[in-house]
Amino acid sequence: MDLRARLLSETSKQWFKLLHAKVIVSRSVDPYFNLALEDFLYSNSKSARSLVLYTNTPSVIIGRNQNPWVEANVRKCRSNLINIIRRKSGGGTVFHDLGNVNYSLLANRNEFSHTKGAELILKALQELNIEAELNQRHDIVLKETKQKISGSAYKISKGKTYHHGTMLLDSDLEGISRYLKSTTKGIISKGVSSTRSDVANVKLARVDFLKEAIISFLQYDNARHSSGSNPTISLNDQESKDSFFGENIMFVDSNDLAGVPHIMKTMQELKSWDWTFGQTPFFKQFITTNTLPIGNHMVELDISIRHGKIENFILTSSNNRLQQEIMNYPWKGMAYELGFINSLMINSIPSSEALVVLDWISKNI
Amino acid sequence: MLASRVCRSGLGSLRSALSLKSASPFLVRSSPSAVARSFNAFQWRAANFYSTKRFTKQHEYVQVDGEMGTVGISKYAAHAVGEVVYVELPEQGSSVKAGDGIGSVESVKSASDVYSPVTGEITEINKSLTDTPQTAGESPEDDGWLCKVKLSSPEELEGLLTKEAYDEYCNEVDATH
Repeated sequence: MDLRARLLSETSKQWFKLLHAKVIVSRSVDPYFNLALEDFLYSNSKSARSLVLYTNTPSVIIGRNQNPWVEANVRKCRSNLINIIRRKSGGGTVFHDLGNVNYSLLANRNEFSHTKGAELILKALQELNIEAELNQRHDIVLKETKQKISGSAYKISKGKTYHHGTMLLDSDLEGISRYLKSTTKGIISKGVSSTRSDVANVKLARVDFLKEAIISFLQYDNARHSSGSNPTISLNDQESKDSFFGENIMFVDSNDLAGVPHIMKTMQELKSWDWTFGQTPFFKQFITTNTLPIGNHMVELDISIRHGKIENFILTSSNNRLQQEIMNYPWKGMAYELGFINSLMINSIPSSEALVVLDWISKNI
Repeated sequence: MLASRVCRSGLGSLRSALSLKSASPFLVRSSPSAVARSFNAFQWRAANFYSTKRFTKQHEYVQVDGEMGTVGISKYAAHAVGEVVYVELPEQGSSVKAGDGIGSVESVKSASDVYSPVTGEITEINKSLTDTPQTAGESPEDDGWLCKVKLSSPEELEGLLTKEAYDEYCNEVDATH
């Protein structure tokens, strides 16, 4: 075979291998890439069931229909370089960092089960002498302390489903409470809310957990595939172990796949403001104060936000002139972001009282 | 006199099916045979499916009334999904093809995509689901409807499952679990 043919067949073999791989471990820690990879495999994998494993740099991942201002402290996240990402599956908010491992079990729709993925993980933990169980919310908790060590979410589409979850190995638990605590007041939201739980780290080495999770999954896959003809995989010697793992596990890097159109498109979508913040379900914010240094006047703000942009803005104040001045600004259509007030002031010079009110508003976003 | 009155009541739905904004009063007064002659192929197709309910293998249903279809998730799907906490609806006024995604139904932790069983224009969405999403799960084939579609190709309905065929399909699915 000439060089060209050989290289071509190798590349297409890699591609084929990726689409049929049972276990895919991402070497990238870019959360946008990893979520895009998961989505890509979800839409394109030809394998009946597969397991994707990845770890992300610190990020707050909110559910499809959640409100980022309710679920997280957007300001703190941004100043600490914590990514804020909206994922495509439902459920609540999770915190990813280099101390946790994310697993994603992709399966055909007819095989979907709320508990199968969790069972596989429990089995893996068992092998590592961790006593854990499932609670009523399908969360994995430590048997003794009932602390949550893994949270999960599901997505069901035509033909395929996925169940993804996080496993807290050595995560920054204090960070979780810091970044997931919103300080925005007065929000009335129709989005999905998260359920807070007490969390704990399972102090395992990442490589140990990965290994056991993979073995547990491959055993399940083997059992389903061959319907009992080879129920347990014998990995007695190093050689058979190596060949077995080599055949079934694929390692990917963002360098290998970042140029794949589907992945590129998903990454761009996930990074966009329109997806992350603009997809927030309709909500309102209502705040009031009478302690501003504007001479004993009360100020009340009632705003409604659709697609992350201000739809309606009503400021009421016992100081009518002030009320009029503020109401005259072009609020409608403005993005619900901290800096929006700055953009307003380009063509006008607000009075000092108006400045106080504008400052109060920007502090409460 | 009686004949024309009967004619008029029967024509009410036909006129809307024809979408004749400038309905000629002439039509109302004409005899049944003249009306029959002005039937076009579309109306015959629509008439075949006048008031019927069809299902898809993705567990959506379409309740047809003339040329309007009310779309939602089936009771079977609602039962599987559990308590609905959020419903994502399509844009009113948008056009869809059969098989296109038209939103999703989210329960505690899982988001299930919903696909349109038919091609047409989304004329109305069930806004009440914004305040009470659980209705989509509690009475999916009734108050919990998701959107109304003006059918552009009613012959598609022939390819969808009847209630009996759908029930049978669900039994098969349950058996493999």
